[in-house]
Amino acid sequence: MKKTLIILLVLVLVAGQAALFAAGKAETKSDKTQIAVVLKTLSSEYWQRVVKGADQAAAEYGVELIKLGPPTEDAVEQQINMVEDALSRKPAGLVFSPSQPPTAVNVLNEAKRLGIPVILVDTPMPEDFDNFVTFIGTENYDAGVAAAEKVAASLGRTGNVVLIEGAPGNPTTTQRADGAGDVFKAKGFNIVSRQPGYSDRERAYTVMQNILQGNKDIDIVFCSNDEMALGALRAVQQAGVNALVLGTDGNAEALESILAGGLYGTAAQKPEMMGYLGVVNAIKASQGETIDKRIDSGVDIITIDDAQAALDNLK
Amino acid sequence: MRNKEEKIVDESSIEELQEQEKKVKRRGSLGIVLSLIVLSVIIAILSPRFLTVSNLTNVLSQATVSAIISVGEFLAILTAGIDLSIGSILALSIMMLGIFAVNMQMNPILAIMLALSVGALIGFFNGILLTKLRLPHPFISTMGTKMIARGLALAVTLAKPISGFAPSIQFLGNARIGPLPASVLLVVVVYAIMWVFMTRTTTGRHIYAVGGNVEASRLSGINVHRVLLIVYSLSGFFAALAGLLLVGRVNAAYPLAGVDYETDAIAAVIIGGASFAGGVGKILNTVIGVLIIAVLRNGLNLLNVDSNFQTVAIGVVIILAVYLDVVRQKASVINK
Repeated sequence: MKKTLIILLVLVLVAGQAALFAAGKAETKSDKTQIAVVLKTLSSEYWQRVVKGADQAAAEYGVELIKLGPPTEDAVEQQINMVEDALSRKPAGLVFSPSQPPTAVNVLNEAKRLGIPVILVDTPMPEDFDNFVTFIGTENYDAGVAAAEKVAASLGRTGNVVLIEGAPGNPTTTQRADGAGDVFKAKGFNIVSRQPGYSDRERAYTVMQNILQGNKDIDIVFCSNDEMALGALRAVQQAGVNALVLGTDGNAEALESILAGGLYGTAAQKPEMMGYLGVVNAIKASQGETIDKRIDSGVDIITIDDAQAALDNLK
Repeated sequence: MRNKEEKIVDESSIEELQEQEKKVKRRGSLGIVLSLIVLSVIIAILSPRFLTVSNLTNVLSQATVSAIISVGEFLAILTAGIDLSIGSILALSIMMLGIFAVNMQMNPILAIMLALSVGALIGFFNGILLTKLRLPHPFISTMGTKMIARGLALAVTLAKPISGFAPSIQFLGNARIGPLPASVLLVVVVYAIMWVFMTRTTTGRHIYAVGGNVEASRLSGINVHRVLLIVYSLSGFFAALAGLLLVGRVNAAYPLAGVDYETDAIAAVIIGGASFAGGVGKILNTVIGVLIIAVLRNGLNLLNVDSNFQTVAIGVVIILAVYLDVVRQKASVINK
């Protein structure tokens, strides 16, 4: 009996905690329009910036957001569950970024059946899938191309390149590395190594250390996100190698590193813009407006020249 | 003379086990079912969406993958072991399913049977490591297998996901039979069969016996190696079966599927009252453990709770459940 009581007590505590978080948020029975925003995770600076843009749009248009995302980007089934849970609350629209696009087909078909418009941000669905209103995001391949062209021009000669991409199978990070790789190849650079860093700083640090064991003659390191770039940079600096390291995303820490003479540059996506445009277009779609099937949220290659301005813009 | 002594050891140890089970677990069952009910009531009060038919169907179908994969973990833990490889076995099995069914366009039934065999075979391999190579603890052997299987899952398609499965392959994970998802019916059938297996067959009783006391089991003539091989093969098989449901749910096989699923499964088994010391636990409580986690996650989603706090909540529930295991063991020591 005693343990039953203990179980009950703690479950009540846990649920009570949940109620505290929920109070004034979820079940306040407001008559506001609800828009669901389900992202790959909410636990990183990048996705928090998407949320920031979404919040801004929600404030401007007077709608309420249901914001969900699993603890990590590889919790794929949990993300699909979250979409199902969000749909069961019958929102006016869904802003969604699929962790593994093919896995979202069934659940997005369900959204279509329920008449809930789907706005994709950051990551598109597979090409043959059509049950969504629009895809808002950076052209990832183009971001890699732009970054590679800028750094190649800055170096002024050919040389040895390392590419570090995200988790194998993640189209976003793969395409960025593809874009950069194609430019480097076309310009006659030698691609020494291309390896996954799983979008993780520590993993990229280790990968870069290992590469440097075999070859210290590296001129350029391109990474598919800023986290990995900062990890790779650490390895490069510790080995005393003078290579230009680039990231992608334009996070605050990357910008600070650029200002401090660390990273060469970052291909800044505009995550706030994705979140903002996502919510705005979800509202428009729910009101029956027609929307372009593809909206480019743009990319800036930020180097020491414009890092300060970009950093100010973040704050 | 010697033979007689061995017999005595056997009977007393099995009797001991049975008595312990009877005393401790009646109350344990009640507690865990009550917890699920109280949790559901609280969430229903906080969110009017919770008790809708569509949401409850959601929760049930979301729990199915975990429910199936937890059966194998339950068996492993019951033998005082553990299986850390099930998430990776799931991934490798579904990648092979994708290769057989989509890339090679095999007959769907044949492809499913081959994929399930892949799971069972890797599980059997775990069993061999434990029994024939005598690795000291399944924590180590299955951790090795976990990495091997994950690596192979990534390697077989160079990390590309496979989609476009035939409806017959998606059937179990995606179809509905009347109002109920087929996956939920499969869970009911699997648990019914496993309940009969664990309580009404000699092998089932042997699994309990091996978990309760390996030495006594060996002395009393139970083929411990055979039992462990069966347990780990079944664990691998259920991981592959869970994968089949996952493929139906999401219409895709992807190599990073099932990451950390062993953690959820262990949590469900422990919340369900099985003891890490082995020999104690009920198969049907495991599914209640799975449902508690699923309802908690669903409820917290409905309430807009940050996912990081969901992880915290589940962590709290696990620690609580293990604490109950400690209390229970103390109680059984006192009873002796």
